[in-house]
Amino acid sequence: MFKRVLVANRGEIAVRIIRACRTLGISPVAVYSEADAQALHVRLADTAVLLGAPEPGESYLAIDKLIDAAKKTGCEAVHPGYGFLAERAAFARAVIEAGLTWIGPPPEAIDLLGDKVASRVTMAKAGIPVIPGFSSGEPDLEVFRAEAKKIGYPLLIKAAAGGGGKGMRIVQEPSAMEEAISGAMREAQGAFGDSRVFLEKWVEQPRHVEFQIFADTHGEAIHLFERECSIQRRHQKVVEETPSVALTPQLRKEMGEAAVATAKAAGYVNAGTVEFLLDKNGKFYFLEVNTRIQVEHPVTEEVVGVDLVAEQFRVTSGERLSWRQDELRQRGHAIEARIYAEDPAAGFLPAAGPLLYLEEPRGPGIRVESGVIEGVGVPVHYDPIMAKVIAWGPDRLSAARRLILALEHYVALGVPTTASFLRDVLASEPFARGETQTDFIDRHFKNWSGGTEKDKQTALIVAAVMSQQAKTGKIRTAQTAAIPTPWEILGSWRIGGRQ
Amino acid sequence: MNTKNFRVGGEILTVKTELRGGILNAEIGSSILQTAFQQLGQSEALITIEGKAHRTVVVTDQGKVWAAVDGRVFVFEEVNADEEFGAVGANENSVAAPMPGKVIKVMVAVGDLVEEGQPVLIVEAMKMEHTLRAPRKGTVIALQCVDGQQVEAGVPLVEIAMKEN
Repeated sequence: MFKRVLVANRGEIAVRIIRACRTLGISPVAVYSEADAQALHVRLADTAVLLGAPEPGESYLAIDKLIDAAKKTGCEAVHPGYGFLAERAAFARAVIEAGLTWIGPPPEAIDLLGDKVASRVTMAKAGIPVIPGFSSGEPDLEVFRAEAKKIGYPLLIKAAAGGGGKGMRIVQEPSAMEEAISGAMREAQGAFGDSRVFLEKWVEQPRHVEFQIFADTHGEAIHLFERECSIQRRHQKVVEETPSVALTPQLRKEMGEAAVATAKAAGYVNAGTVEFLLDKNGKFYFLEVNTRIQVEHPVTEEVVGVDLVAEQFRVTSGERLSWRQDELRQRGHAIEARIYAEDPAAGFLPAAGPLLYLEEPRGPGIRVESGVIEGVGVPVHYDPIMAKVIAWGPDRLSAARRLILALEHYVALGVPTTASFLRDVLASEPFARGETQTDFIDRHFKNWSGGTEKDKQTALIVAAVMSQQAKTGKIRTAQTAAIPTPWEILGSWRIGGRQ
Repeated sequence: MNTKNFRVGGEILTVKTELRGGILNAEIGSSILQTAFQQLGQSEALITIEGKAHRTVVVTDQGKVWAAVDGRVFVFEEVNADEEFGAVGANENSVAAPMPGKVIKVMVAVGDLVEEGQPVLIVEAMKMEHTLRAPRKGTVIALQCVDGQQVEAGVPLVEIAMKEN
C-alpha cells in the first residue's frame, strides 16, 4: 500500500479521500488555493501545499503545480476526486509520466469514455443500447440543423467532454438552435477546455439510473448495483437513492450485465459509473461512463456495505477486487441529499459567503460528508457543494424519514442552502410514491418559496429577541465567528518537514 | 417593550418583544403572542408555540439577521427606527448581476432599443452561465461593463430608460 498520497481536490470529496487514507494508514497530503487556506480538507491532512490564486486555472486545474506538490511532499500517488481534473486524461498521463501512480482508470479508458462522442460509438458497437443522436468533429451549424431535423425536437445539446450539466442545453425548436449551440460551446470551452458538442434525442420523463462498476488489474469487473439520481436541477443531481423503485430484479440483472459489459469493452480499471436513461416503458439507454468516484457513492456504500474509496487505493496498488459479484447484496435503502450553497427560492442561484453558524445532524443511520466548517467562507470560485447528508434505513420510507429529520437538524446560516428545499422534496407525495422522473423539480416544486408564514413569524420574533443581545455581545456575530484558530494562523504548514 | 424593525422582502415589519421570567410577549402588526421562551446558548433558543417546542438559531451579520426555525432559514434586514423608510428593492431601470461573477458577453450597446425580457448580458459564476434580461422595454442609456470584466453582485451594469414615444 502507498505511504503518502496527494489529494488533488477540495471540499467534501477531499475530506472523504483523506479519511479513506487514514483507514489504510496512508499519509494524506492536501492542496489548496488562496481561497481555501482555512478549509477543512487542509486541516485534516498531514501536510498541505498552497497551489496559488483562487481561480481554478491557477490552483486546482494547474497540472504542473499539482505534480510539483506531489513530488516535493514525497507522494507516491495522486487521487483526483471528482470534478476539476478527475476526468482529464492529460492529468492522468502527467501523473504517470512524473513517476507517480494515478488512482483511477488508465488514461486510454478516460480518453475513450470521457469523450461522450467516442464512447457512444464504442458502446453501440458492443451491442449496448444508446440514445439516437448525432456527433460531428466540425461545429457546422447547418449540419447540426439538418441532423436535428432527423432526430426531432425537442433535443439536447451536450458537451463531448462534459458532465455535470455544464455545456448542456435543451432546444425546443429550430429557431433556438444557433444561440443554444454557441452558448453550449462557450460553456463547454470554459468548463472543460474543449468546445465540442453533440446532439441527443430528448427522452420524455426519463429516470436517471446509474450502475456503480469496479474493475481490477487482473481482468475482473463487477457492478455494485444501481443508484437512481432522477431528482435534478440544472441537469445536476440533488437527491440520489438506492435501490431504484423502478427496477425489477430482471431489469436490474440486465442493466448490471450491460454495465459490466461496458467496463470490459472500455478496458476499464478502478471505480466508475455507467449512466443509463430509463424510459417510461422500462427501456434503458447507455448515456455515459463517469470515470471517477461519484458524488453520490455513499448510498452504494451504505446499502452494499463497502468502502469504495478505500477499494480504489487497494485496486490501484495491484490487489484483487475485495468482492465477487455473487456475494454482493443490497441491504435496506439509502438516500442522499446534496447540500449546495444555493437559493432554491431564487432559481437555485449559487451563493457564497461566510458560514456564520453550522450544525450538522447525527443519529441512527445518518452519515454526513461535509467539506465546510463554521467560521470559514464558502468561496465563489468553485462548485457550491457544501455537504451531503445520507440516511440509511431498512426500507425506503424509513430512510426517507431519517433523512427528513436529519435535514431539519442541518442548520447553516450565512449562505442559503438546499437543505430545507430537499426536506420538502423528500416529504412530498410524489417522492413517497416513487414518481421520481428527471423533471420532478419543475413539475412539483417550481414555485417553492421556503418556510410557511407561521415559521416566518416565529423567526421574526426570535430574531427580535435574540438580535437585541447582539449589542451586548452575547450573540455570535460575523466578527466573533471569524476569529482565527491557531490552525488558521499557521497558514501553509507542514508536519514532518519532508520536502 | 423592545421594538425592532425588519425589512422582509419589500415590506418593513415592526416586531415588539418583552422577555420576562421565561415568558415572551410579542407583537407583529396585529398578531399578539405570549409563549414560553428559553435561551440555550449564544445563538440558540427554544420557543414553544401551540405546545410544540421549536429549535431556533439566530446570527447577525452586517445588518442582516439570519434566523432558523427547526432548520428553516429566514434572512431579515434590520432597519434602524430613525432610518427613513425609503424606496425598497432593486432598481427596475437597471440590470445587475445577482452574484459576483465574470461578464462573458455584452449583448447590447448604448442606444439600443430593448424589449422586456431580452437578453442583455451573460455572466458566468460558479462555472455556470447566467443570462441577464432587460427588466423593461426601453433604450440602453448606460453600459457599465465590458466582456471579461469581474463584477460584484447588485452593481448596476446596464441602465435602461423608458421608451418615450
